[in-house]
Amino acid sequence: MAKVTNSSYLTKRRYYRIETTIHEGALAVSGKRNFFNQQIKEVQQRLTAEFNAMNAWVLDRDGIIGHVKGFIASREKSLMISATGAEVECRLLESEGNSTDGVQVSMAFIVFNIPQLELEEKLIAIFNSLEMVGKKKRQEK
Amino acid sequence: MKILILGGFLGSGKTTVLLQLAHYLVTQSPDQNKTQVAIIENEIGQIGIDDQVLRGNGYEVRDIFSGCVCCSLNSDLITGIQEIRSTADPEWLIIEATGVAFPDKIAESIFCNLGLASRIVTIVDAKRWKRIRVPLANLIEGQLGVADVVLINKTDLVNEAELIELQKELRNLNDDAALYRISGVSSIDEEILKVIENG
Repeated sequence: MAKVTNSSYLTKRRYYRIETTIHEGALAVSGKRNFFNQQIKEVQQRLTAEFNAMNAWVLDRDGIIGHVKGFIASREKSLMISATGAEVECRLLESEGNSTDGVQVSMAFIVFNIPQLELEEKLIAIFNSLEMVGKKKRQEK
Repeated sequence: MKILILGGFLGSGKTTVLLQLAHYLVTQSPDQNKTQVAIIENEIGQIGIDDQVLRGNGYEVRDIFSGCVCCSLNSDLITGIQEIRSTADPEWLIIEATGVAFPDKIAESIFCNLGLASRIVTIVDAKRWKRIRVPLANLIEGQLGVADVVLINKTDLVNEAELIELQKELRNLNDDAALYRISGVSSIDEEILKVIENG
């Protein structure tokens, strides 16, 4: 059996702290950001919708989703959202939550057969989308 | 210190199994004064998610991120194991591999560098088997061919005929491994955990 072992390499986008690793054909893009004006429930809802859309986006490009996962933490609680190509699962954790203010969001996309730049842009787009969560409501007030 | 390597494809349920297994090993230990379980969490991405889940469940975790301990981060793994052995010296060390790792390479490296044998448990996602079996054949075969125990997960999401077919394919890839069905909707049977613990 032939086994491929290639080394990983990184590209960095400083502003978003997005980092990319490649291994065994899998592209792993991950990032982390704090949101200070959002509610965890709204972030959870938006991220669930984004992960659902992500499933379809990868499929449309003939890619394979390895694992798309996000970790959301506030002072009150923390939860994990994940997708493997079909339904999006959300799991509330028993921990006490984050020790800092705001909502901290970590995301990691591990997929096959998707160009690196497209995947990095997707992650940035989702972070931007989370930035907008609740903004409309606040503007209306 | 006994070593258990949890392998299996991305999203197959390794972290969920780890949580149950760690809980079981802690409760089974006769010496409650000793550290029962240490965990090394390897994630391919720079930002970890699973480690946060494990910590959220009360476990101390050593992270090895941004690559795979079966190759590029192998020296980090060996250093990590040495430190854990010299400080906590737990009864069990569980290593959760990335979903794109070859567990046998991890076991081989640990044996060659430290003289320690490892047990390999590989998790299979029954629901996604058909989707990934052919396009990722090299990886899937590499993860399954070397396992001591294979856990077929997400069995509640496929029908019996699909499970039987899957078991046949798994038997072709690995005739020696103990093969069990598990599901995220219920706890892992204690008999299965005993097999993982005792071999």
